[in-house]
Amino acid sequence: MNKKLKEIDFSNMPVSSSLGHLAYGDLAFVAWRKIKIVKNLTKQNAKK
Amino acid sequence: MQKNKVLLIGWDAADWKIIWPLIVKGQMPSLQKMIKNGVYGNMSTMNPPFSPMLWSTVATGKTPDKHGVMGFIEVDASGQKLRPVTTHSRKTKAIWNILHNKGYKSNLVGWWPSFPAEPINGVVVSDKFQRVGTDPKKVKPIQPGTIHPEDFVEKLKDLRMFPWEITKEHFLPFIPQAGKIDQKSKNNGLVPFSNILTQNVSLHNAATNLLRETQWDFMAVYYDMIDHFCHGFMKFHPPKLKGVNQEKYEMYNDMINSAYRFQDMMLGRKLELIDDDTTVIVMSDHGFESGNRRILKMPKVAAAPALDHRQFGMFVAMGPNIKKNEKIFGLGLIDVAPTILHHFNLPIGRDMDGKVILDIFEKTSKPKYIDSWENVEGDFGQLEKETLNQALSDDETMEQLVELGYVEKPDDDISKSIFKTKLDLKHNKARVYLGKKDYHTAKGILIELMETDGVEDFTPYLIDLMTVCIGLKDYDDALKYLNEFKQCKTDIRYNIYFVESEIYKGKKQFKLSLDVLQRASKIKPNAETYFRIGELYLILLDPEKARDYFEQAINIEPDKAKFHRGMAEACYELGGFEDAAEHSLISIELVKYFPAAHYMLGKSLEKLGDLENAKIAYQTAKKLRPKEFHRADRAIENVEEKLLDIVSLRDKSKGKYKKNQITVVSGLPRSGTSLMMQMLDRAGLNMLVDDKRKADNSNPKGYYEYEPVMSIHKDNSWLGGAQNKTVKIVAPLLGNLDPKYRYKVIFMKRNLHEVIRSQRVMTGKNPEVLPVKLYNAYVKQLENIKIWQEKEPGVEIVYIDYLTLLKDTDHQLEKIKSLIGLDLDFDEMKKAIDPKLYRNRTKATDS
Repeated sequence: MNKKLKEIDFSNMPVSSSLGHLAYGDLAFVAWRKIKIVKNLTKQNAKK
Repeated sequence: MQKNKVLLIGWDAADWKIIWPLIVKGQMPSLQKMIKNGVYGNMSTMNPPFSPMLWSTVATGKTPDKHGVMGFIEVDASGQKLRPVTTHSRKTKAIWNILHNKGYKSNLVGWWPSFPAEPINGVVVSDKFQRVGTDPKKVKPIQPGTIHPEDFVEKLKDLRMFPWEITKEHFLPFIPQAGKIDQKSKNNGLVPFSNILTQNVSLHNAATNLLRETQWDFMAVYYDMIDHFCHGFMKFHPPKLKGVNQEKYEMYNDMINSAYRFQDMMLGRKLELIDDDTTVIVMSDHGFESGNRRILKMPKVAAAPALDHRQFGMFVAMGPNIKKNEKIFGLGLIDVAPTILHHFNLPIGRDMDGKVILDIFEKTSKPKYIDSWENVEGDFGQLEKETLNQALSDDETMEQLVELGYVEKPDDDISKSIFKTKLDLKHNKARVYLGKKDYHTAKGILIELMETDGVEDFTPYLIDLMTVCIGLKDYDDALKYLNEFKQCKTDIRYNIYFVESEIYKGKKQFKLSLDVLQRASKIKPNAETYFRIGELYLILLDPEKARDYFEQAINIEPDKAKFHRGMAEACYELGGFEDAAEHSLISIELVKYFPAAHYMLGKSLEKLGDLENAKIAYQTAKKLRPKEFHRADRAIENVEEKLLDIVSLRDKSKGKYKKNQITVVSGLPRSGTSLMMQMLDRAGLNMLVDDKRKADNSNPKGYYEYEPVMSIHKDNSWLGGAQNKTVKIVAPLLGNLDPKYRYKVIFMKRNLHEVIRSQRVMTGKNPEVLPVKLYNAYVKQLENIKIWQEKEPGVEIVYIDYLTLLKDTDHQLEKIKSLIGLDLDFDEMKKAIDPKLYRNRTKATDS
């Protein structure tokens, strides 16, 4: 792969994601899944 | 790190007609970048345009009759069930098998078909990977055979996106008014949208992962998003068609453009992930109708949605050894595999149907060949032969194919569906042979289908049989099938106007052919009908009407090369040589490898005096289609002579003997042709005659005829033996001369009243009666001779008037000598003239 490429920091990705994220491929997708899990956990904790 | 890599990206159904407007607006920047730094062009598809067949052709360089993938579905190994086509359906080696054998690593993602995954050197994510089902409660695990090697299952399994994960941020760019959709409604567009989008995202995730994480030499990624969105939503694409629901139009009218934009975004990411030394190819297997030829209601025939597929898809390539910003012509799906093998410096199988597209490369080397990769022993990373116990099924894919309309929902009685599928596959095979112009094989298969017991509807076979017979120029049989077709009862409404008019055209019943097309144009006017009417008017020698119809065709579809070629011919016939040249050029701009357009350009430029370029145009026509453009040879000789004339300032073209020329004596029957033959015989020329027709009172010195001339319209192959000889051919038969030879025609003219009178005397009819119809027909024939001569560069003609020949013989003999270009014995020739023979004179000529 292109070594000069800088990967993006996805930590601020909104849970609703975007088409741009989907187009970015696996890295963004995996990051999004993680964010969704964290968000769900937070929601569940808040409910408790 | 691997050098010289190839990334092949398949965009099913991508079409320049949608791409160019988006590029102009800057909405497909990644593809635009590739075009700027690479080559682009149309990709010609094959018939029938069914994607699994086509992508297998891309992968093998072979037509479906050889690679074995014959449709969307097939009967499984048990013979009891239907299933989507699989890797087992492919009987020949794909690019990745050959690369495996040569030690290269290949990654394959989503190729159709690629399940079960082949054990190649590299990673295969098969076309089953993305099929996750639609029920969140029944998430399907990755089935064995989906991914090779097995250890990649764990790495990739969580990259599958599920339809229920779609958020509004994902669908609003496609459907801005999605909030208005009743999601409880069964047929709401969000369900198919979500399935298609998530499946393609899953494959993209796998592709980006492999691009980042693995070493590879060749990688192929396939997306069906554009095709599937087009089948679902193209009817709502602008311009709005009559009959489309306004509300739905407003809801979905940006869907297609959005699909292309998203595909381009995914391309952008992949381009980021490759090195500069990678060659990237983006291509589609066919285009998709987006204008007024869109079908709103599909007929109930096998794989009906493919009727919306357009003949030309797209091709773009970029890489270190690829030319920059250049349009490439003449690409076909069969050429992709040979070109990729050549890129890897590997030999191409002579049994492959395609060619190496050398035009795309900056630096080219001579392609290497072997007889066949199929005979090479060794490890090619192929699957073991499927056994009965392993019979695969794939319900999700079947369901989606049914949903898309490519496949009928299997009947409750599975044996019925199996029977129908077998017929469809056989029919597809016939259509493949039809596409390859192997008409005899196609006809054999179609006749077998016609003779199969239990077939409910023969009409699809009859239509193809008519096409086969037209290809074989067997118009009587075509007419027989047409009549049979008209007797058949079918639920399908076919448009057979073109086939019917083609049959009449072939039988030279031009008026009937025209009637059929005129009727068609009244029922449903379209560009193709107007074009065909224009062509008929050209045959009927009415270029003015032809021009009007070509103009109408061009107004509707300005980017059809053949319409402009027709227009060029009409303009030429009307003397508008500049217009003719311009339309020829437009035609060539649209389809570079169009020999008839190059030939027409040559003719137009020759008339305009641009002889150098005319010669180049003729040479191109000849080079592109040597068998059909024999007449280009003659045209080139003529231009060369004219060019010499300019240098020597004298007319050389006339009076010069041409190597292997055929001297033809022609005219209407009883116009003095036999006399001329006698004269040329006496002059010492080599005569081609037989003694089948004996001398009689009408021609006491003999007819000088050659019997095969009478059937020249059926067989003109004897003309080769007529070279350097003199033969008599009556005027109506001149049009059957093979343009590959050079002819010197001495055309005998005689007062038409005299000709008819003489004919009537000869046939024992009253010579004083003048049949007006016959007279007019002869006038027309004489006009046609002039037009014919104008069209045939290999023909030089001199008109000799019978009466003048008798009265002013020396001068006429000089004209004949000047034409033939040989010394003639005038004294001997004159001895043939017996003024007593001049018997059937009219009063007018006597005076």
